[in-house]
Amino acid sequence: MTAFGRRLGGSALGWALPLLLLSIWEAIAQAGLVRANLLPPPAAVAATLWGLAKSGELAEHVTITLLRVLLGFLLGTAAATVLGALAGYSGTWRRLLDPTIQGLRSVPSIAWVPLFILWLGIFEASKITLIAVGVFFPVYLNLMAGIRETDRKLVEVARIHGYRGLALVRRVLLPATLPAYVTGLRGGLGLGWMFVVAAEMMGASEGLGFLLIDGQQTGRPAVILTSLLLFAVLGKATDLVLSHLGRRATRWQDSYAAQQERSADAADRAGFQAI
Amino acid sequence: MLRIERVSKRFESGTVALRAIDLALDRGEILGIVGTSGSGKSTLLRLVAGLDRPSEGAVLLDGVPVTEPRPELGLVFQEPRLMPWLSVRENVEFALPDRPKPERRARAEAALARVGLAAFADALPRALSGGMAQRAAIARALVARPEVLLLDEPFSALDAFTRMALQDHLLEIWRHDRPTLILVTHDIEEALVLSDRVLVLRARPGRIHAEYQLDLPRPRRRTDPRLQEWKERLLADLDLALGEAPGEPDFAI
Repeated sequence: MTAFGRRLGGSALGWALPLLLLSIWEAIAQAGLVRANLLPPPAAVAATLWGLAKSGELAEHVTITLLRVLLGFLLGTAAATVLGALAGYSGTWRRLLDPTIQGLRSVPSIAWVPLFILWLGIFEASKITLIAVGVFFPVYLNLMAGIRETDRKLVEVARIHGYRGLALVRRVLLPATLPAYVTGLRGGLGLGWMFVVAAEMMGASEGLGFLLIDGQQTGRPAVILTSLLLFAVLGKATDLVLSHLGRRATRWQDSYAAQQERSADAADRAGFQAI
Repeated sequence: MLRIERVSKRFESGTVALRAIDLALDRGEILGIVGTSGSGKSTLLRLVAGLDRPSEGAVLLDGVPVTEPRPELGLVFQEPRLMPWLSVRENVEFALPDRPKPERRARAEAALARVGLAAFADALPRALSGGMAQRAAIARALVARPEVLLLDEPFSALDAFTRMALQDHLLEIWRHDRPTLILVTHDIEEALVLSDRVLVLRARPGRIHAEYQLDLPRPRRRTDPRLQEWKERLLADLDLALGEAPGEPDFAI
């Protein structure tokens, strides 16, 4: 099988469950087991999606939500990268920063909302800040742990060859930390999606979270389901981008998963040569 | 050129790893250090390399105290310690951070050719066997042409054949560049095949038990009866060193 064919085969397996759920949903709707104003049939959801797309509303909602997630993600990641790197690299910085950050972490992030709205208003600033707070913690924690767990033996090799400070960070700590960092980024992005919903549900006039609330208040379950579907697709798509970039950056890893992928690729090449 | 003056090392736990070590090495000399575990061999090497600092005394390289790693001092660890994200060549280039890229590349390739790894320059470390990885580590230690090369049981994790091949290879490099070598090993034969002088360390606290200038001609054959005689003498020394160590008796009554 070629790499493309295998990838297609692999994702085909991933599609099996959603398709099964879809057909069960359709069957329930067809049989009239649940009232249509509670669970509309897939066709109604598709029609809603099509209607939103045609009127241009869909693009508007998706764009603003993606933009909020992106800005919050960048902001949270930037802060977490600087503070996580400091706390991981230097014991003094860790003793200074970590207790406070860990303390703030135990505040459920949604609890910040009233304060952010009071300080930053009900528009974009408070929403993006909330998303950034959500993104911050997984990135900070993973980066700090990744740096602290860097193999002392590799650091010694670098010291022997005269690496110090920034050069040591750039040539050893950074690459060694990359796998943990990518894990943190993916976790942060997941939380970013969670918080964009919270932010948009609390007061927005556009965005997928607004669509959810709008659907609820106007009694249109098809709109709610459309919005949920879009969250699933967008969340998965953005995670795919990150995990793809992450895999490229950490291809050197000698892990079990990496091994599986390599042997599949090798099998491809062998198969290709056999043809 | 290298002097170790009344060097002691006490760890924070209170353990005295080394006590009052005095030693001087000539340029181009090969010193073998053998000793039982806990005799402070590796600790001594780390002090000379500048990775740790002595509690008392000083290590002097050409009269200047060694307080941190220096380019004149190279170190080969017991494990290869290659950066897994760098190719084999980039791992060797890692030892030349301040040189321009073309020079770095050329020297790294030459060093890899000398350890027989030219064909693996672009491979990642995970593709190498244990022996190959250790050869790459030796290339990395040698590429900066250190005046003193410290080796901490560099061949101990390898099979007997690879070990002998790398011992011969190390001697070849020594004949070529004449670096000063300090080789810590628990393999007496290895110390005898390679060294001009052998130091026997005794444990708790680590100190020099005996020092021998080897009168064996080079190249040495492992089967030479004189080498075998030396081996027995050193073994006897090590038994003594073990037997006199204070502590728990070996058996309960």
